[in-house]
Amino acid sequence: MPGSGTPAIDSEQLTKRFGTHTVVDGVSLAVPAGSVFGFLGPNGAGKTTTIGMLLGLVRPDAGRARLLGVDVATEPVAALRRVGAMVEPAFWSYLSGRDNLRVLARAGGLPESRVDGALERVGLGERGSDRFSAYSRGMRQRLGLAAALLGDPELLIVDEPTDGLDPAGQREVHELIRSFAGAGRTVFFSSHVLSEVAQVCDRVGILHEGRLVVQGRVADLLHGGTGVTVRVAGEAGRAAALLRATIGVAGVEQDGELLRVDAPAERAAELNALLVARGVAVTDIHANTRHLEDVFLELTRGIARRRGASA
Amino acid sequence: MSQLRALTRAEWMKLTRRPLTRGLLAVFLGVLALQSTVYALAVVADRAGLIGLGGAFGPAQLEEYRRRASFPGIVGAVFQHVNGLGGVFAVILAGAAMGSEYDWGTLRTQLCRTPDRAAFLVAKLTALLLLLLAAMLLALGFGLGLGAVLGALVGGAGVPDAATLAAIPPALARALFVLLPYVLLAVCLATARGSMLAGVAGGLVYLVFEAGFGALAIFAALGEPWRTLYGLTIGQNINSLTALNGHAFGLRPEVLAEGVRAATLPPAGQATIVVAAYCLVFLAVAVKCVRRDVAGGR
Repeated sequence: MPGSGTPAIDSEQLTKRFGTHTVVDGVSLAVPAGSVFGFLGPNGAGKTTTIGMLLGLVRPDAGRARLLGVDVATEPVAALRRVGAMVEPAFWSYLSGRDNLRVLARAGGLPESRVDGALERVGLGERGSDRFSAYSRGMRQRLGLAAALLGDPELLIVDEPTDGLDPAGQREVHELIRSFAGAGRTVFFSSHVLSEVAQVCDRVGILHEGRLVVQGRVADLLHGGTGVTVRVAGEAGRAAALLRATIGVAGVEQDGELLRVDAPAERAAELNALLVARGVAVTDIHANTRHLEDVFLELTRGIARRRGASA
Repeated sequence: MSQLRALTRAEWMKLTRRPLTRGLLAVFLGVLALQSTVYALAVVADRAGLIGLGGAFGPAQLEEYRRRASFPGIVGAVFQHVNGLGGVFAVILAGAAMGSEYDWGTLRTQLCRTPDRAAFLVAKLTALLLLLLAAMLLALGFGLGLGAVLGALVGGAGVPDAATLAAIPPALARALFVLLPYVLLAVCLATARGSMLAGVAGGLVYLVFEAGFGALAIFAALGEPWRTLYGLTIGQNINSLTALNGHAFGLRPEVLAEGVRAATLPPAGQATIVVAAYCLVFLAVAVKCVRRDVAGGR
């Protein structure tokens, strides 16, 4: 285990250019040990290249990365010893799932007795003898996870682990990741699916056009949602007027019996009490919470606006 | 060292389970059997006067065929087969083994677990050479069986004598050494371009060119410096070492192939140095190329 306070992943200004195009631009990640970190970004944002640099597959043009406190560039073998990774589930097509894992176990100096356990863990125990070429996309993803778990790692780095999986398969992968993290280990996984990250992760980093635009706790990012939505039964005009007259309400938008109130979300209960006290029948009231989609769109649109303004 | 052993064991498993390996070995042994049988049948048919082979083949050629179908010559024929067709197959196998790691993305799968790239390359080469050695031993065993049957048919020795058996280990080492530059060339090309096609096709194209270099022998006949330059091509030096293996078992390869006439071949010492130098160059390029970024992802 990394020392107390040592981040599981710690990168400083990681940068990668392909020709004149900067694919990853000064990415500094701090992934605390024991967290489930979602690395979010649209396709082409630079997630896979960043992961490639974390795993020593791609040499950064600038910056450095440490895994579990060990520098990837100077001590790659030591840095990756306690790391399980799945960048893309690529295997030897003529070998069975089981033999593919045996190859990786041999190469890593691991006991081959771990192979069956890893296959069972991802639900491939029954199909371990089938050739990899006969595996479906979902089975390939699961074999990739089995390979990543083979070395019983402290840190799991996976790139789009649910890509191509049906909803049931996605749920299985999410459960697998949660169970892995439940044992106090760290998971870093990339995805372009916002809902997936919101469901599974406790921390998130958002990458946009090669830049890390934000990172932090998911709860913190979603905190501070604005607005309250109220539905009333009749007297919608009077209800709107009452709300407009209330201190702290910046405005009310009426749409039939639906009122959108521009006020801090945490005042929903207070506004409900006010309306009921004045004899307005409230059929529904809820605080508008932020979604990761909102955060993502705010951040990425903000960047686009700033770029547009500076151009 | 333990890491290298672990990686080599993994590479060995990949290679020996590969259908291509098994297919090439089957074809290799099949052609060896066919070739030896045809030699034996030519001799038998000539002796029996069944067909007018006497007109088609000279007595020296028929005698060489007889030598190649019985002991000790059949052992030399096996080694010549190893360094002939075996060289082509070694290029295909090595190019495919290395190039497919790039094409299939398995290089990424492996390097993010065992990131020592030089060790990966050395393990791959070690496993390839061990496999070629195993294939040669299998071919030798097959050749001994063929010699027992065909030797009796052509009236030659049906069992190897002690001297023949003693000559086998150094011949094995020479044959493996001769395959090394081809293996390294294919691996080097596959690594440089990051593809199986580059390794296999590039290696085969080189072999075709090398055969074409034989035409340069005409310039070698003009004297220095052409003779020296021609003597520095890989093929000539390999011919020199291959011919040694033939001679060690009583064969006279020059009877069947003009290009291997002893007078035109570099001395064995020079051939060893030149082949080793080519190997080092190919290895150095492969090591440099395998250190490049392994791109990937979607």
